[in-house]
Amino acid sequence: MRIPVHKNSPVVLRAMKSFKLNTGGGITLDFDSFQLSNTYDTVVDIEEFRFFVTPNPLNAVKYSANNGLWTQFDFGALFSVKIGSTKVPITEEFVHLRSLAEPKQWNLNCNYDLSASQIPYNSTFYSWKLRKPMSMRPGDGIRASAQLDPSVLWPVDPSLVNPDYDPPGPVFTGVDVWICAIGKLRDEPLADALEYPWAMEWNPVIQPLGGSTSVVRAYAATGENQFRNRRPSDMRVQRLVASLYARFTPTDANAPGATYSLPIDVLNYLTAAVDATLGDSMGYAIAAARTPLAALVDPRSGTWAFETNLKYDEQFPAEVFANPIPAALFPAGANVDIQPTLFPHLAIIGSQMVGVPR
Amino acid sequence: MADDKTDNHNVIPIRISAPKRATGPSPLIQAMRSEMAPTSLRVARPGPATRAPMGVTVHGRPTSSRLVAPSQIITPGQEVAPVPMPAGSRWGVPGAAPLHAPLADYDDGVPIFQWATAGELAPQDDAPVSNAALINPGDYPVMIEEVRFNLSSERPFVNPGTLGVKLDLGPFPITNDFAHLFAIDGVENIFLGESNPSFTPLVSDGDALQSVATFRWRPPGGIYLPPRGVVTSQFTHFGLNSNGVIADLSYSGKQLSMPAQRRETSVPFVVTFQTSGVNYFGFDFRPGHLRFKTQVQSSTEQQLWNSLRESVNIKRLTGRLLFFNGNEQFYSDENYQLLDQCIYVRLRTSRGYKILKDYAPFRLVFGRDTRCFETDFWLDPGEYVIADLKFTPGNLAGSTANNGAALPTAVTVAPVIGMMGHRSVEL
Repeated sequence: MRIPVHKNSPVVLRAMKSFKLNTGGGITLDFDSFQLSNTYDTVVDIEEFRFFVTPNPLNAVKYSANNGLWTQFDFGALFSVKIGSTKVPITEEFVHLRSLAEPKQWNLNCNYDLSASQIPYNSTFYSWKLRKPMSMRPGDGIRASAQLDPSVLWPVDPSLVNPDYDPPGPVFTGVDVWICAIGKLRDEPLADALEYPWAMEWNPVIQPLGGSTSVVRAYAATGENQFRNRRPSDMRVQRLVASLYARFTPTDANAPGATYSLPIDVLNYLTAAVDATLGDSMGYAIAAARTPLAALVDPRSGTWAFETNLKYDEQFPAEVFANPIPAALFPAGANVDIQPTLFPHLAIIGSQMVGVPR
Repeated sequence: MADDKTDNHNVIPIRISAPKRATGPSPLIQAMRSEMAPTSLRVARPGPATRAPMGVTVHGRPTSSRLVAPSQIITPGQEVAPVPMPAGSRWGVPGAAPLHAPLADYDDGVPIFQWATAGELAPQDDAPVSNAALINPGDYPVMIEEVRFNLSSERPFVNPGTLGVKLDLGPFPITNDFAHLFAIDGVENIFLGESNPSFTPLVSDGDALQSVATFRWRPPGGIYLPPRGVVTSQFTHFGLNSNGVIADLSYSGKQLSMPAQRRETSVPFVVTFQTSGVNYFGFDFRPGHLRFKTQVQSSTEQQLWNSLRESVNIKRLTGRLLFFNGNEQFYSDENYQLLDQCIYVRLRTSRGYKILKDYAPFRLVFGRDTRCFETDFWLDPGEYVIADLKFTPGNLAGSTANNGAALPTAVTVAPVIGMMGHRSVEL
C-alpha cells in the first residue's frame, strides 16, 4: 500500500557497525547498504551526514581519566569512512570523521574543554552538512564503510587493548560507529547535472628525529595520487581541513596510564609543531612559505574555507615539516628525549558535478 | 508524492533559465566555473513575492505574502541578479542555514527591545507576563527576531526544563498549551556558550540569587507584530522540584519602516512533548547483574500535533534530555553524554509515513551540535507526529562500574521533543 507522504517529507536513514578494539586496528566494516537505501518511490535529497561514535560498554574510555594532560580524545581521529552513492564515489578512499565534520564543532568533537573532574564519556558526534543536497533516485543507496585506523595512533593505551588492564574484569572494549543521512523527499524533477559532495584526505606520518633540542626537521610530501582529482569532472574545492595528532614515547611504558599517544587534535596546543606548504599543478603557490599548520587554517575550526576548481588530473601538492617540540610542551610521563610521531590530517572538502542518466 | 491536500501548498521554484540543449556544459557546470553563480535567475511562475538565496526553492502558501521589504519584491518573470554567496557560506543550502542567522530582509529599521517579568513562580504555579510592557508601542509594525527567556532562582540549579510557556499573537496561538522552554529551539555551538546554555551558575557573595539561565528562540521568519500588537505570554512551573523560579520574557527586533499594510503574515507554531522520567539509578550494570528493563514511551496523537485550522510548515524537530536526581537538582544535556547510547528514538506521522523507520540514538537524530534537525514538511490540521522513545541499558550494560561508580548523581532522564514551524494567517 502506498503511504501518502507529506510535502517535503523528512527522511532519516541510519546504520551502525560495532568495532572491537582489542582485535587491533586496520579493520574495515561495511554498513548495511539496505538501511541507507532510498526505498521510497521518489527522489530523496540528502542534506547532511551525521556520525556518532560511542564506546560500548562505557568502560572502554575509562583509561582517559588516567591521562594527566588531556582527559578526552577524538574518535574522529581513529575512525574514517569511505562513502559513495550507488554510482558516484563521494570520498577518495577513507576520510577521517574529524575531517568531514563541520568546522564550527571543533570544541564539540574534541570535548576539549571538559574538566578532568568529569567522568569522560567519549561518545563523539560529527556533522557534515552538504553544500547542495545529494539526490538519490529510487532504489539508489549509500554505500559506506568505516575503518579503524590500521597504524596511525594505534594502539593508544594498554587499557584499551587489554581488557584485564584497567579496570580489571571480564569486559571487552568496543566502539559503535553510526552513520546517518538526513534529508527529505524531493518533489521536483532532477536537473541534468547534480552537485555531489566530495572529499579526500592525506595522512602523512612524520617520524621522530631526536630529542627535544633537535633542530632536524622531519618532512613528508604528497605522492602521485594524493590530493589529485581522478574524477572525470572538475572538483569544486570548498575548504581545507587540518588537524594534528601526536604520539609520545612514555618514560615508563609499564606505568599505569602511561601516555602512548594523544588522539586529540593538538593543533591548538602544539601550534608550531608542523609547517606546511600547498601549491597547485600549474606551479602556483597557494601557501608558498612554510606556514604553521595552525596558521594555515583557522586554529579554532581547523578549517580554511576558499573556493577554487581542481580540474581532472590536477593536484594540490603539499608538504609538511615537523619542528622540534620544546620539552615544556611534552605531556606528563612522556620521554622528552624522543620527539613524538606526528600525524597531520589534511583534507580537502568540496563538490563534484555528476550527470544524471536518463 | 504529494497527495491532493499537500498539492495546495504552493511551491515557487526559482530556476535557472532553461538551457539550450547540446550547446556546451550545463548551466550548473558553467555556474561552477564562473564564480559559482548563475548569470540570471527567473521566477518560474506567478506566486507570492519572495527573495531567496541562489538555487533555493521557496515554499509558501498561495495566499501568503512573504515577509519581504518592498524593494525586494520580485515580480513574476522578472530577471534578478543572483544572490552572492560568500566563500565557505552555507547559505545556499536548503535547510542548512545557521540556526540563528540574521534576518537579512530586515536589515533596515530601528532596533527595539521589550522586557517584562512574570515574577517568581512556585511549583505548579501559572503566571502571566505583563502585556503592557510587551506591546508594540509605535505606529509601525515590528518584526521580532528573537524571543528570550531569562530564568533565575535562589537555588543552585535552574533549568529551562522546569518551566513551560504559552504564547499567543493576538488571536493566533504560537504554542499549543505550555511548551517546554527546553525544546522550543535548537542550540548552536553549545560548548562555546554562544546560545542556550541550560544553566549558568552564578557565584554570589551571599546574595540570594544562585543561578540564572538564558534561553533564546529565533523563530524562522520572525514574528510580525502590528502596531499596538502584543505577544501575550504565560509561564507555568511544571512542579518537577520545589524551587521557585523567576521568569522574565523579552523580545528584540526591528521597527519596520513601512506602514502596516499587511493583511496576512506568518505566525510560528510550537509544540513539545516530554516523557515521564526514567530512572537509571540504582541498577547494577555489571555483567550478570543487569536488572534494568528496556522500556518504550510514545507521544500521543495530541502532543506533537497540529492543533490549528491551518496547515503548518514544520521547520525543525528538537530533542533535549532533561536529567534530574532526588535532590531537586537538574542537569542539562550539554556537556553530558552519560546516556548517549541508552536512549533511542523513532519517528512517524499520522499518515503512517516513517520519518525514521528504525530506532536510532537520540543524540544522533537530535545531533549533539544543535539538538535538532531541520525539516521542511507540512502537517495538515489534526495531523501529528508520533515519537517512540526506547530506554535501554545501552553501553552501560557490561560496565564494571556499577551503582554510582560510573553514574553521577543525575540519573533520571526525561527526553523532551519539540516541533517548530509556522503557518500563514490573515490579520
